[in-house]
Amino acid sequence: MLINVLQDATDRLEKNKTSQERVRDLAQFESNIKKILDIANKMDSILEVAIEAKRQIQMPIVLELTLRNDLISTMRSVLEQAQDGFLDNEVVRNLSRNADDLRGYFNSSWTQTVSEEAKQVATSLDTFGRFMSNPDEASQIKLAISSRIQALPSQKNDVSLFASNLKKGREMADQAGDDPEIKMFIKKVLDKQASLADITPNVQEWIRKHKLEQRTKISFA
Amino acid sequence: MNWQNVQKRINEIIQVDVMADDESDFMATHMPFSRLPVQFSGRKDSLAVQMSEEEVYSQLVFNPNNEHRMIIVNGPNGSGKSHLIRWIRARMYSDNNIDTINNEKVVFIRRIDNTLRGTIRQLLEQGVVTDPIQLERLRQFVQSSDIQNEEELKSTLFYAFLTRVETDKEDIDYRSAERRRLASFLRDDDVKKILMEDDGPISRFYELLAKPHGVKQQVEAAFRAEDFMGMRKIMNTIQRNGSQDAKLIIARVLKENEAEKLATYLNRFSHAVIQQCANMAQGDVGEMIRQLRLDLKREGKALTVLIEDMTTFTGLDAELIKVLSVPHEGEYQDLCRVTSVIGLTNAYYDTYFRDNFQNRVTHQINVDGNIFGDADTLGEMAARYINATYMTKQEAKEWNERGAEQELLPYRTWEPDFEWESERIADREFSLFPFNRRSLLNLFNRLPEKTPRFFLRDVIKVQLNAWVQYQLGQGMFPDTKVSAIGENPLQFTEFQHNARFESVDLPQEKKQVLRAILCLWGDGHLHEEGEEPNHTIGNLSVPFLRFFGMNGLSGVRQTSIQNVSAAELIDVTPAISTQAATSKTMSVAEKNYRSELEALANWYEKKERLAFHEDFRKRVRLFLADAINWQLEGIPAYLASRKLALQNIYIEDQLERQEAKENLIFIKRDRDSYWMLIALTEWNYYGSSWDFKDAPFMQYRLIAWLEANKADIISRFKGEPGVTPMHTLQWSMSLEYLRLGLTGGLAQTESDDILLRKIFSQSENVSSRSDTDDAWSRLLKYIQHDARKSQFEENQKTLTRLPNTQMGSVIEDRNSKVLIHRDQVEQAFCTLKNLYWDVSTLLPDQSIERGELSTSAARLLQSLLPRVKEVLQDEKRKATELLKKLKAKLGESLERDTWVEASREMVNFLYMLNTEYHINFQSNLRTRSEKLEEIAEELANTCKRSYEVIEGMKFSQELAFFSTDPCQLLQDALDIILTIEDLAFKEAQKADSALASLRHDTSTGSENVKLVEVGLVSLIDRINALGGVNHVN
Repeated sequence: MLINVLQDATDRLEKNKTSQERVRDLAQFESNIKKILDIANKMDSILEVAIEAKRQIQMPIVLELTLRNDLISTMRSVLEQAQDGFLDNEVVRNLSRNADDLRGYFNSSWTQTVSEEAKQVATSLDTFGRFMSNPDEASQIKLAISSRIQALPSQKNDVSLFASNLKKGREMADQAGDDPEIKMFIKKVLDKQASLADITPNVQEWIRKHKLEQRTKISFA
Repeated sequence: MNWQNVQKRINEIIQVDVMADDESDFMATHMPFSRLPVQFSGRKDSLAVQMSEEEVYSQLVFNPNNEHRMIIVNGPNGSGKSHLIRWIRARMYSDNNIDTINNEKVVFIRRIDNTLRGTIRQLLEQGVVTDPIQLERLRQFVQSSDIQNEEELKSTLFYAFLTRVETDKEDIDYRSAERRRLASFLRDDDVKKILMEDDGPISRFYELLAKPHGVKQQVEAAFRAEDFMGMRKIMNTIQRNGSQDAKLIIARVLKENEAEKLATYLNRFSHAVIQQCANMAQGDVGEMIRQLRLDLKREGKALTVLIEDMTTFTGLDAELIKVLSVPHEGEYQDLCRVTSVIGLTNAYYDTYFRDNFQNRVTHQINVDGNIFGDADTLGEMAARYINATYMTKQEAKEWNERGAEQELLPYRTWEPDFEWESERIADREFSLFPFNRRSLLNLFNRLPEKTPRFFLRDVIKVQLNAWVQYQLGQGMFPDTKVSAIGENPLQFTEFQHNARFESVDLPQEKKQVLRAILCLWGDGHLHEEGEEPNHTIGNLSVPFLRFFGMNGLSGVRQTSIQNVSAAELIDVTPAISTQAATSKTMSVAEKNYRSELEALANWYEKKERLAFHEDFRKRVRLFLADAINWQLEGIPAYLASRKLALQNIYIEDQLERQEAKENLIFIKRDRDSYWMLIALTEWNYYGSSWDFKDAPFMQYRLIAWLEANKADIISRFKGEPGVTPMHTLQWSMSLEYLRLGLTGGLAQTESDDILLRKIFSQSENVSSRSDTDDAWSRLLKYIQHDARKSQFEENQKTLTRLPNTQMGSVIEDRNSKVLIHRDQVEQAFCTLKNLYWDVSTLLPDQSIERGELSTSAARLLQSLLPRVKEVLQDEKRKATELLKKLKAKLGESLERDTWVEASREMVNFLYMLNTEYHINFQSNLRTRSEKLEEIAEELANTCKRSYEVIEGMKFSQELAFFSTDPCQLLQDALDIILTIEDLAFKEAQKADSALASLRHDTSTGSENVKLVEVGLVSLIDRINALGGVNHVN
């Protein structure tokens, strides 16, 4: 329709005009380009790590709408401007902010994903480390796990390592008693599923043996 | 009275080609020549003295002083040369008791059969030839001519010429070799055949020699150039089959100069050949006469040679003249005196009497027609011949032997028992019955050749025969055949007498006879005067009329009203005679008038084609223009005027045939029409006035014709029943309506009054439409083409003039104001409006072949109306397309607001282009865009109306709508939209291009930019690939 045609033409004309009219500082442009590049690289890394985290530990990576649109819009603006040979500082800042938001988002998602289990495993390792065959390893793993809970790792390897430590820690915690009943009880404790019924005389004996009476808490679910 | 004898005597006395053989009859009928111009030398220019025949005889012929005389009697054929010479002879014999005459040998060569044979026979019979050997030869010729058939004699002649050529020794005209070739050429069978054809040269010689051919002018016996030039028809034959010589010669003689040369050459031998064929040797005639003269001299006698016609001596004439011209003195004093009286024509004299011979001529007597032709001469001649027919042969002979004195001429003319005209001859009255002087003069004047010969043959003899037949109860008198009374019709001098005469109850044949009597014997009228015994009708005695069976005829008496119809009660005085004009001082107008009357008479009575028809038709036209109140009869003045064109008036059998068509005014060849035309001719002759004697009668005839034909004429003018003036008006209006529609003159809504004014306003045939190639434009061009344009212009004129009231004559072109018959116009308009101006049902079913005034509009409508309907369909299709396109551009609603909005959008866009982006464009784009807002209402209405029309409306509504060219309005609007869109598109493309260029320049200078582009694009894709609220994994 006429109106559509005119509007479209107007848009394109305006776009061109805007692009044409921008004051271009080449040095500034190059500087901002580099910054954008850095930010893009960072975001790329973040995404890589997030994807790895999703793969390793099923960390959900569904972006919130606003964040996603904002991010994409900013990147497009950056693209447009970059194509025009122009990059204003604001858009650089926006992208940087978007990148930070992305990291923040993924950090949050990481924490939410790993915190509980990591703490459990760490606690188990801490509690039952001495009962493990290699209490030093347990202690290392506990440290490794605990140090990654707050933020998404910056490297993919770190994600893999974390996942590996977490797994190892769990396994060690599982293997902390040589009695199957004791293993079951430890596992349940790690899973927060242990109940009073699980405290069998055998388990009770194991607790007294390892002087864990004071570290064993009871709660009503 | 023994009428059979009279019949016989008529034929004896008046023979077809020659005079009466018998001398006594000759003398009994001889009309003395009273005035003969005589010249006393052979020179043509010598002074002439008038002499009577007796003076000629006594002073020239009687010749008491014995002087040599060569007297030439010349004059045209039939003028009486032979008669004079014969009279001289007879006069001489009547003086036979006088010694002088007794001692005269008279040789009288008559023109019995106009042949040389006849001449030689006479020479033999009259003892001119004395030499026995010569005598024998000439006898042989005469006898052989009698015996030989035509072919033999012609063959003899031909070979005589051939021999002459072959034996010719002179190289004057042709050399020897040429002569041989000529001979070979002449010997060719095809050449010979042509030369011997009936109208060929050999036949001419044959006729001279032996074939009687009466008194008709003898064709000269000679070869002519045409005889050889006419051989073109055998050229091919000779070229195929002829000898070499023949081929050569024929190729030459087909040219005029060579043909002339050959003819002249062969004519050199004419005399010799004639003599040879006549068994005469060269010099025979000369010797013959010379010997005669010698003999006569010895006998103490003289010689008078009378030759009626010198041409009978052709071939011998030169010798004869030579010997007759020799005087009897000096060395020739042994010859007797000769007096020769030779008849010949002026042409012959000029051709053959060369200067030296002319010098030998002593006298010339000129006999010409000037001395013959007056009433006295005719009367006397007639009286003599009439009397002679009643005389027996014996009576005539006895009278002649007694001296043929006129005073003693027996009077035997049959006379009626009532008084009759007579001629005084030698102090006695000779009755002219059954003629009178008037009839003789009238009949003589009607002769094609006014000579005594034809007068005797074609008047006296014919009518006397008729008279005798009448007496024998075997015929009517007079003889009224064309050959007897001539071709000119017989008319009474007064028209009402013509009419009166036509009403006489007699059989046609008798009526014809009576008409001849009244017009030729009488004065050409029916005035009845006097009582018995002086009772006359047309100045003819009633007893005379009764005698010939015209009983009961009543004429017109001046004071009597009996037997005269009311229409014929007029004060009659003799009018101008309609007889063949005898006055030599007639004016041109009168001559024309007479000619016209004659033409009418020939047309009516003799059923001949009518001459001067154009003049007659013009008068009819003028008459009808004023005589009929056309407008009162319901025929518009304009229509009447146009239809009263000359070509629409046709008189039956007028000279040039018009195309076979239904003439509006067809004047039949009947009595009423005849009198009508005469009446108009009279009116015209008298200065277009009715102020003449017979005017009331003429007017009566005119009105009678009008009343008989008026209804038919009016009906034809109206075009009934198929075409009426109202039809014509409707068609004209409809045609103009169409024209207005096509040229943009109609509006969608307009009052009847405005529409009517438009139709009658004679607007120009121009259109405001743009020149495109669509159907409407093509149709527009069609009607604006010169031929059709003039038809439309003509229709406009017709339209305003049809209902116009005109004062005065309908054919007078008055440049006055137009006064329209409003009721007629409104009636037509109402009809057309009810039909929504689709006049298909008002047009004739059949196609009109030729557009006449009343149907020309219909004819054009027949072809135009279907095309207009097609064009309207095309316009609807166009409108449909346009609306579709506009909807695509502006949306479904094409209301005013849409147009306003669109206009503003475009204007704003243009403004922005200019101010924001500094882009220039056509200066009128903005104006055009703004205009859309101004005409938004109109555009909306047009769109709306277009929908309605597309759905289907009445003819006039569609035409009126499209007349304003709404499609163009919409098209213009669409065009500006498309233009703006195109501009926008192009400018956007330019912007895109500029941006791309900018980006290209930018990106090519920085690797990092590329990396950023790639990286960000990848990031965008990966982020898009991540799950989200509105993202589908």
